[in-house]
Amino acid sequence: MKNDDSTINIDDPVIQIRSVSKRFDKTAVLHDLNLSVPRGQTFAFLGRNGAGKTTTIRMLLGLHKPDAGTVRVLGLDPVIDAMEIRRRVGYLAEDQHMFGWMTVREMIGFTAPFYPTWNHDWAGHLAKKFDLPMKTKVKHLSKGQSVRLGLLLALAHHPRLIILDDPTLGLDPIVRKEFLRDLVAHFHGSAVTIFFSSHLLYEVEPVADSVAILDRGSIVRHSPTEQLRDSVKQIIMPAFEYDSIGPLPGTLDIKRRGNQVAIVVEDIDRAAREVERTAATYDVVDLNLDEIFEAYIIGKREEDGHVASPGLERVA
Amino acid sequence: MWQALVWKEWREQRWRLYFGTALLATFTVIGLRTRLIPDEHLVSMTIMVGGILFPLMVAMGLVAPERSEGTMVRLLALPVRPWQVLAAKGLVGAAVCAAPILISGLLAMLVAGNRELPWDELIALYSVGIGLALAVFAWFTAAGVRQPSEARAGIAGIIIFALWALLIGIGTMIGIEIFHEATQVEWVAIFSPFGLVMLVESSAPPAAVIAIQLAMFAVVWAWAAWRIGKPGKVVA
Repeated sequence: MKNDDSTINIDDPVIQIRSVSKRFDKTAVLHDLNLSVPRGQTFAFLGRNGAGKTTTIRMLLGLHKPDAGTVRVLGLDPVIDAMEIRRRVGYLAEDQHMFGWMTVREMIGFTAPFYPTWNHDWAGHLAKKFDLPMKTKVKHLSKGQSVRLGLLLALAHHPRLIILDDPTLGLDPIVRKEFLRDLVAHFHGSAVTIFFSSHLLYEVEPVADSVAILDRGSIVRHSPTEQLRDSVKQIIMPAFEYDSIGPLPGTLDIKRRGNQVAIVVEDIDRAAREVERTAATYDVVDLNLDEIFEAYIIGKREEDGHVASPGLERVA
Repeated sequence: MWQALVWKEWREQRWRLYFGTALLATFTVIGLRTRLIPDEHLVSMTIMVGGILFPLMVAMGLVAPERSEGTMVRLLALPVRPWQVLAAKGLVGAAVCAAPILISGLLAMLVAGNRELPWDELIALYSVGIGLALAVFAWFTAAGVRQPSEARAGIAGIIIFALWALLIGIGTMIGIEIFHEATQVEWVAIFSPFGLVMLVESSAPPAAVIAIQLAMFAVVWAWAAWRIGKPGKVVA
């Protein structure tokens, strides 16, 4: 078996997607997707249900072939080296579909032989840490226990890259927090890269180093989380002053409330300079990841002529 | 890895083996002991049930439940090639299909060996039965390998079965009508899932029948292996 680092330089991205497109019959799922994930990061891959997250992840594992473009995972091509990639990657799928008739011990015993680097001691340690009942059948596990078992199966072979596909889907808020706490505790300061797909923004906000927002098969924003929070902000100003200035550069979303206008902009420095040139009065409001995501996704949808949110008057 | 795959399949399929063996063995022993029908008819009926209906049941439960329950993606996301998953399934499924006929044949020889049917004829009939079961199982599996549910896998298998039966039936009618014989149709039938029956029913050389059936067996499994690898479209 090849050493984990034999196919990739230390500075090379762990995941590199270039101009990838994918269709299923007449449905275009991904178009000209570009993405780069550096080593050692926790990378949040955000998008609504149906945005193309799972298709992208399946492509990373060699389960789907791209119609166009190239994909590299740990320096390997998933179309050619799918087996080697799967040996080196820990994968936790959305909806933990496991063999319900197996006990937890049997599920671990079944999975282990597929991975040459499987560490039984580490698996045992994780089972204790996650408080997994070894003799219980998988079908009788709670949702939280199932996800923990899935995480154990994804981690016990010491992967250098962990791909989590909406892992907390269906979990209650407390279990979700516990899961994320476990994840952060395990990998804090390690060289392991975590590729974390989710549609729940608030859950990735505390753990993600970088964020990519996927909308209808394309990346609409890709940047470090801090940079995203620093640059995407909301400007609130009187409507009459906004009307005299006209559209601000990098506008993502505009809402009118009475005589006020709230504008979400992609680059606050640039937009603020534009407003200051006219000596208009304005306030800047910080946004959380949820609000930024909404501005990118829903804001754009409405520009495209979709239905506006109820109770808000949108400026075309 | 192979051990893990075969172990999983065995644990999932073993109840079908127990059920099939109990059913065929009971039918054979009671039928041969009571002698309500001639031994040859009873053996033929056993072979039809064990060689066609039972493989359909096994093939339906081989891949489709994994797709409907979502476990197929988990299997395919492991560092294992799709054909290896299919090979483990096929190996256990073939054993589950063949064992009831084999055990039924051994019981038939114990109860009625050399009574109405000589030993060699009984052995030949049950051997054809096992071969028929394996061939039919391969076709049914290949037909159902992409189906999302057991019911649809069963329907896909029955459609393949019906199309062959139709082809052979119509071919026989046309052959008799035009050529006053159906020799050419026999050669078509040899390529079908029930081609091994031609060892008993036709004048075709046995070596040719076996060679064609082995080739078809390989082609059908290759077709199934090609189709099983796709996890299904997910727009998510």
